[in-house]
Amino acid sequence: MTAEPFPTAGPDDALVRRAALGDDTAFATLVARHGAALYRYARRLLPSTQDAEDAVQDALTAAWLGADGYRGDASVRTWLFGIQTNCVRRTARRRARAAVPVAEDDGRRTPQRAPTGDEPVEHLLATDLRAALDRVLAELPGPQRAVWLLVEVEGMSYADAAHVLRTTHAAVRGALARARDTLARRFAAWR
Amino acid sequence: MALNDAGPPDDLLDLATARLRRHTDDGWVTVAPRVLTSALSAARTSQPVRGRHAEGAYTVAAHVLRTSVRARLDVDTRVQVRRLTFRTGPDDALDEVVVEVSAAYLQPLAPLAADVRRTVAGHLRDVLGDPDLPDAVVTVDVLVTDVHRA
Repeated sequence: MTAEPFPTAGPDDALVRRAALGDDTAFATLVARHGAALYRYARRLLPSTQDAEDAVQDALTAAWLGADGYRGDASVRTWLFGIQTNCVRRTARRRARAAVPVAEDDGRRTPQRAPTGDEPVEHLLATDLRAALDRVLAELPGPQRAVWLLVEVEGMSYADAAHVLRTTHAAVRGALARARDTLARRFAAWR
Repeated sequence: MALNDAGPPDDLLDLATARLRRHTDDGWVTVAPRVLTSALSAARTSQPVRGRHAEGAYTVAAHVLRTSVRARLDVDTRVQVRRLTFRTGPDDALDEVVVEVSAAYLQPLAPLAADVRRTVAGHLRDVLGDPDLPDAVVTVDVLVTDVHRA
């Protein structure tokens, strides 16, 4: 026998199983794999970096404490995003205020207004394209924004997105269509 | 890439989406170590398991036992622990430990289960201070739903 512990590069479900057995290295690997995506999602659904940090903190704590409750009904990624969604909702209720446009990452810049249809393209040339998308995203209603992020950015199927948001396949399809339409119109207006 | 180099609006949106997909927020990079440390330090609640010492009785949280038993079995490359369950009686005395493991490919299962039972029981005797704890308190379920390379 050699003292070679469980490989931490294993599949996600094995890592969750290990986390349930108190293996913090396995959990750290999970966080390394999914933490950035969870934060990216939370940050675009909540008004501040502090709120996003709180929501991700809550989600990862819940995942660590509840790892033994993972039954494999959905992928680990879907499971984590489901927990994250609950924590985002809880944080939003706690703040009890509407989301505002996403500020720069460091949170020190004043949030920029959403671009208007007659805004010259040259103005956008001086900005980051992703930041422009963030500003338009912030104008979407929360449920549409969440669906769009899960499907278009995180690559989830409609079924997984419905599972995460605890809604129906049809609701996801409808919200996604509306979100896509709004975003396409806003981007078209910039041309 | 300049925005006016992009194609139709959908292409521009697609480009922005692709950038967001690859994006890692600076905020996450900053807080990740702190968030992970904080999550791992959250106290798990679990049932107490009674131990005994010359000075008296004490209890050990089941999740602490779970972590220590798992670490003990991790050195055995023939098995991978899948689940550990502790059952206690009304006085928190240990009644049964169920150890679910997957076995490495081609491992003879009966001797493997016996080794696991012996290892776990020996460890629990040490941790719980009960030299009379029998090996039979450990139930080993060897799952052959999967195999792994040793």
